[in-house]
Amino acid sequence: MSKQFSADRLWLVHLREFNATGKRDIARHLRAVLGAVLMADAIRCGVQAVEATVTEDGWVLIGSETEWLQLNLPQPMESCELFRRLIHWPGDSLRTRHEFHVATASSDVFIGRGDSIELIKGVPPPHLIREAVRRHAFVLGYRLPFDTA
Amino acid sequence: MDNQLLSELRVERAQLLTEGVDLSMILGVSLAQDAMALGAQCICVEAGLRPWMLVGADRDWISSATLSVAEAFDNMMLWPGTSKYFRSEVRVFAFASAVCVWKEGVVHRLSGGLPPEVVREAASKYAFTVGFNCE
Repeated sequence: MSKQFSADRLWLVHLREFNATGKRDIARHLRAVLGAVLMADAIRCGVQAVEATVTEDGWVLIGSETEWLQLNLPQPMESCELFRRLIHWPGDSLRTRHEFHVATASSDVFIGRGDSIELIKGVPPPHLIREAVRRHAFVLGYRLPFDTA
Repeated sequence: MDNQLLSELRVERAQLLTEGVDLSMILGVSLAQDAMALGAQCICVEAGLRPWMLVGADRDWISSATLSVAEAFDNMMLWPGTSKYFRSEVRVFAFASAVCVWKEGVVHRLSGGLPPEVVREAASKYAFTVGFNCE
């Protein structure tokens, strides 16, 4: 099973399970799953408090006072590289980080550091969202395709 | 809670601990996931107050006019429209040695003892908070 297929399967499992409830519910649940695994990754990297903010137009902002993306990596790497492949936790052959899953499932992904936005995929967040981004030292934001119509 | 259900959940707890899983973290993000999916727009998981874990939000995502907080933590509840996804409260109740809920300025102790003052202060920052201790 290729790593790409593994990440896609996450998407497909939730689509199949929730497709009876309608499009809005699919997006809401998948959005929540992705948010939860990112919060878990942040805590696993030692973050003391991590906050998820869900905006009216479907953006999810995972914020903290510590940039956890560069923590607990097998070797240093560029932020965009983290989202391009599945990366295992050091010394763990089973469990991976979830940046790749988020990039696979989302239409738009960015990293916010104060006033600076690094675009990983799709379009950057609108101006109104940037105020929420600035509340944290570090934010990983994403939005699903269903929410960009 | 049904004794058989409690027994099964405790077996699951023992299995997870054997596998070296960070039980508090898993339960905390599961609650956060539920909160997000059930309409909360701002959810915070505070992992820096170990052994207590706090999940606070801008609204009560658990109880309703027909479901009390205690009932939610005491029963396995499927997500509406799904066949195998269960809400997290019952696992929190079964896995933790102490569980508290802060709602509208009042702390509801569901099991075990109250947390220390620093935890109670942190919990009171949110409109609705679930706190638990898995030790």
